[in-house]
Amino acid sequence: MAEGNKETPEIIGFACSFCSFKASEMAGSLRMKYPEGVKLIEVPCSSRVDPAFIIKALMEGADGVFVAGCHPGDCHFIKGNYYTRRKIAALKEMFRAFSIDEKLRLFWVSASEARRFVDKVTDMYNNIKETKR
Amino acid sequence: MSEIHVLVIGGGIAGITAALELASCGVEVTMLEEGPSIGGRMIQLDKTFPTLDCSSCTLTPKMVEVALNPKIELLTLAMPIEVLRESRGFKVKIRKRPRYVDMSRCTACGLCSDACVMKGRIRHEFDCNLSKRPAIYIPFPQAVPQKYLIDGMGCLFISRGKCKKACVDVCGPNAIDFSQKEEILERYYDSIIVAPGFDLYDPTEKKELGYGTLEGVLTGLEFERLCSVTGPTGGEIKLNGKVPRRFYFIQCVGSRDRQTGARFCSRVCCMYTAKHANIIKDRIKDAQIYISYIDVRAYGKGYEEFYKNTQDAGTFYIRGIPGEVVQTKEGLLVRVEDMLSGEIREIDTDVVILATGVRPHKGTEELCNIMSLKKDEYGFIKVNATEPSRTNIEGIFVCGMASGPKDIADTVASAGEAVARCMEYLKE
Amino acid sequence: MRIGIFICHCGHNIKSTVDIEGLKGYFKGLNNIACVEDYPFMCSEPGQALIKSSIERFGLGRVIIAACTKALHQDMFKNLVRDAGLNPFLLRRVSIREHCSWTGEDIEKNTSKAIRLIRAGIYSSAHYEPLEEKQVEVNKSALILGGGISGMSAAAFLARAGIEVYLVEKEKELGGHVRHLEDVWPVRERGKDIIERMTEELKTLNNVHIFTSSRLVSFGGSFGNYEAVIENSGGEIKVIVGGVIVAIGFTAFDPSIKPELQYGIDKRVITTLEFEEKMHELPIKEGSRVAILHCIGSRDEIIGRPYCSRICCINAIKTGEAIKNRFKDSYVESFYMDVRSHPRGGEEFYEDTQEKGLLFTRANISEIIPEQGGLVLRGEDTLLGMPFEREFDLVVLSIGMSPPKDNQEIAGLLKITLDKDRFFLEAHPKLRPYDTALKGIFIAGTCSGPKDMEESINHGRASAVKLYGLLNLGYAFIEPFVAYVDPKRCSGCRMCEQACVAKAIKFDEGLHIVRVEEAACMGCGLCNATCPSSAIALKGYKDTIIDDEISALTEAV
Ligand SMILES: Cc1cc2nc3c(=O)[nH]c(=O)nc-3n(C[C@H](O)[C@H](O)[C@H](O)COP(=O)(O)OP(=O)(O)OC[C@H]3O[C@@H](n4cnc5c(N)ncnc54)[C@H](O)[C@@H]3O)c2cc1C
Ligand SMILES: Cc1cc2nc3c(=O)[nH]c(=O)nc-3n(C[C@H](O)[C@H](O)[C@H](O)COP(=O)(O)OP(=O)(O)OC[C@H]3O[C@@H](n4cnc5c(N)ncnc54)[C@H](O)[C@@H]3O)c2cc1C
Ligand code: SF4
Ligand code: SF4
Ligand code: SF4
Ligand code: SF4
Repeated sequence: MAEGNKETPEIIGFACSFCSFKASEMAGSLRMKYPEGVKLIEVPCSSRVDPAFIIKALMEGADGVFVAGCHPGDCHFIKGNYYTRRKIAALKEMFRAFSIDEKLRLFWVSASEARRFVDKVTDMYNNIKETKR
Repeated sequence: MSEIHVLVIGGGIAGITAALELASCGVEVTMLEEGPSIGGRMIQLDKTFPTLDCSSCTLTPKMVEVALNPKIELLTLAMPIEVLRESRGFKVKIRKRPRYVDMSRCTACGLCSDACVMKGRIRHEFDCNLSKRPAIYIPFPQAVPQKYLIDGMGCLFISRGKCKKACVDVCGPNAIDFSQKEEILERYYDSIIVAPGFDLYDPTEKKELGYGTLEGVLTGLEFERLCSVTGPTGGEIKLNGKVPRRFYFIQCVGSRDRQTGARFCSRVCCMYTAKHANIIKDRIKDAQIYISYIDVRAYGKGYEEFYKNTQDAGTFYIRGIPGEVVQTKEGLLVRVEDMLSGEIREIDTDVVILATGVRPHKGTEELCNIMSLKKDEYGFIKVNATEPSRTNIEGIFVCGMASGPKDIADTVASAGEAVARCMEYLKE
Repeated sequence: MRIGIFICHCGHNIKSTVDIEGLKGYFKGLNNIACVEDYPFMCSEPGQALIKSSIERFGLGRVIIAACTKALHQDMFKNLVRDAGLNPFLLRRVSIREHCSWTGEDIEKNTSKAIRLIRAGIYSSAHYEPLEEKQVEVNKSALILGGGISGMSAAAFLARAGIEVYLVEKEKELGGHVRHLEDVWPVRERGKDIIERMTEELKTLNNVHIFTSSRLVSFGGSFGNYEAVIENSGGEIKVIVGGVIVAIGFTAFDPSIKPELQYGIDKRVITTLEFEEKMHELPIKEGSRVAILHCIGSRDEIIGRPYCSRICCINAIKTGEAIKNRFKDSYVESFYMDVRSHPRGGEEFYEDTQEKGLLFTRANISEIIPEQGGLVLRGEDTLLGMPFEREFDLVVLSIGMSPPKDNQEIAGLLKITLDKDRFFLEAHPKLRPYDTALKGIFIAGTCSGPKDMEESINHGRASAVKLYGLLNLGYAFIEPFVAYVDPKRCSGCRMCEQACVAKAIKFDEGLHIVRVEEAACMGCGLCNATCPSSAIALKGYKDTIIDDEISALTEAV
């Protein structure tokens, strides 16, 4: 287990293969920079993300977890991301009870939004870094 | 359709794309490449605009696909020497130069290259003569086919009949075979796609720019080799062992220029110059870069932004083409009239890079003669804009740079178009 | 299990910001790692040979390729692994280029990130299973959206090749913009004639079904068996097609969003498109003064059109020439930033028209002021660095190409993506310029960015060839990533059945468990995340795979 109190946060992101993961690939090929602490796991659709994965990641020491999917309405699997939205909202509600809701984020990034991807993950990273101090 | 057989002439990105598309449509293909490896000019490039992804990474997998595809027969060191119409197809005579290495035996171990007595003594064309190679060699490590060859002119044994043949001694599988002779093959093809590509303008005649006389004056393609990992310096931008800091690029050398007989715009030099500036900024942080231009032609997808980024990263664009480049004590001096300010400027630099324009490939003339193809006023193969790959001969199609300047994306699309026309012809 | 790790330098791309030797050193001694190799370009022939021989030599059970991202060269690496006798689904790609060496500058940090990413690959692939690709039948038919020159070119090719073609055009007639051009460069023909020739050709082909004044209203299915519903005044028609070519073209830029140009306010300001349509009815005569403005709606970041439209310089020159040809004594001045006379022969044309007396001034025009006697152009000459005001009788705006109006709608229906300029996004800007990320769906012509006619034709026909290559066999292989049920665990709660959007889950009343209809399963994994009993899992993405990937990433190095 990683120590959760290192200077640099570790963030695990689940990215859907049709939109957000594509955006991250494009961010790379455009040589956009973002913190090394951000690491991605590819899933076919954001709806594949079981809340258990998120809890597991946090339990094992990740400082934050995000789920990134296609914009509502653009889901390649028709409405997977609506399920995601509901699931994450419920989970965030639960996290709020423990004041750890800041550790979880959900965002929509389409395949061409490399800039948005980088902005979102960097913002989350900085935020968590701030609160860790 | 399996009995249908198409000949593709030229193994650049145009020919490669055409061959692979044809194969996916179920057609048998023979590809002729006059050089020892396929890949064309694109494989000489380091990175490609506008995404700056490396040329090898996008192209080598395609080259391997050509080699592995069961529907494609690849003949290297081969070119057509006679093409005669026979019913709807063509009878083609192909000349295959000897490789002097048995392709079925060579394992590409490279021991022969190290042993060759001519090692480091022959100018290496693939590196634009910026490096030296032995007589037995492979043009670059990722070449397809992965087989060595002996350059007959350079080899002491072949050209003069005397050499201790160190290469033969070290070659484990006994692949070296001096008895190979030129072969002439005769084949029948139902249709032909020609993609002989391009060469570059030789700026030596422009004495005022100093190419060939002044140290530090290079062409764009030479610079491309200097940046490449497979190039003479392993990708470090170095001249005579030193890292230059000041760069001056001159665009439109041998394009848009009646004096050199080329009124056309070469379409790629503006962008490859911007790319070079980007590569330099990435590797030499404190570099000073000037680019002389007439118009900056950034007209493809993402190109304008690429140009803007290049400017924003601190590259200076000067409108106006320099009158001369001269030697000074510390390097080179470029004299240019800046048309935006109207003043004459003198700029010190270490390197001058000439963005030389495009010309039809040297062999295109000959190729057109044997196939009776029409050329345009510059020698590119003539086509019509509504049928961009159709030549004057039915059943022969053209794609890539051979029919006029194109960047890679346009070349790929033109190859697809040629395949479409070819398939239509075959189905008629 | 014997694992092989193959690390690519990618020329400079990975090597310059990741310590390859460090990586090798880290993995060499680890359990189960049979070999760790590196090479400048893993995708090249020697690189591939290295992987293949290592699989054979070490009897590898898993192959980890740490190089570029999976979207690139995946089929090639899979075939390679298959050829070496290993099931291709035991290959794991780890992206240490797009997700590591290119996104960070610090070698040390990148190297430690690369270690974790590779380790995640090792851990998760331990749970991989050999899978078989599914063979599906594909329909030898195609849907083409948009009947402009690119769509028509695609239709003609596919129909001749024996594919059933459904060509859907929104307007009453085929032809798109080219139909309205009076003089098409460089063929110098009327656009209408070109289009009519092509229309005739299409009509002789009895496997082209042309739907004019029609729209696509719904779209579903998967490669080989897409279902499309076309709507027109006759009602709705449902077609099953193997693939789709989107060729919905561009929208001509509307200059009225730049009020300083007076377009739509003053009749003496027109666009090049209007000039093409009614060049013989304009109020100009000998001695008239005409200004032509380049780059209207292009190279303009403020209005969100940063790109160059490629055809407007040549249109400007064409316009100037047409006026000069008719009225030798007219005064025609073009105001430009750079002259990009792009299509074939454009440069020579530019030079020749200059000789005919067309003036070219490098300038920024800030506004047009309508006066009684004429239109006053106010701007700055950027060569002389001097402000100027000049009066003209007619101003022609050389307008650029804007994204197609229906971009959003079509992207939404087909689930394809738009780029940052709102044109369609291609799979690779150079080598796959007309592919999308979805198999069997292509984008051709100007809907993916500005192009001239020749390039639009190239695109149309080239994408058609690609589609033909996918359809001509009548079958295709698709990824086996579908859900499967463990009957022993399934409690029959039917939660997954409710969740499944594709309606691929069926309840077996007799056994009181569910089963998956593989052909219908889309592979999203929603069921997997929903099942309270962990009884249903998505192949390739099952819980253990993702769980161990998480563990690998969080474990301290
Ligand atoms: C310095 C430079 C940088 C560039 N950078 C970029 C870039 O970053 N991005 C981009 O998009 N484009 C770039 N380009 C343009 C790009 O190189 C071309 O678009 C592309 O290479 C054209 O491919 P081709 O297949 O038509 O021709 P070629 O690459 O020239 O291939 C033709 C092949 O045919 C063979 N051949 C010729 N004649 C015969 C014959 N008679 N028989 C058998 N074989 C024959 C030749 O040996 C050669 O292998 C650049 C060009 C230059 C000069
Ligand atoms: C003023 C002007 C002058 C030009 N002059 C030249 C020239 O001289 N030479 C040259 O080479 N090029 C010229 N061009 C460029 C040329 O017009 C384009 O290259 C060409 O029209 C592109 O064809 P396309 O099929 O991609 O798109 P389009 O011509 O735009 O055709 C797209 C078609 O799709 C239809 N469509 C749109 N949305 C839908 C939908 N949702 N469903 C179904 N159908 C839909 C449209 O109605 C249209 O028919 C000029 C352009 C302009 C604006
Ligand atoms: S030594 Fe023999 S096997 Fe090795 S590269 Fe040379 S010719 Fe080929
Ligand atoms: S014979 Fe001599 S010169 Fe020729 S390749 Fe062998 S060693 Fe080199
Ligand atoms: S592309 Fe640029 S440098 Fe090359 S000829 Fe055209 S204008 Fe000149
Ligand atoms: S083609 Fe010419 S007018 Fe059109 S955007 Fe490009 S530079 Fe401007």
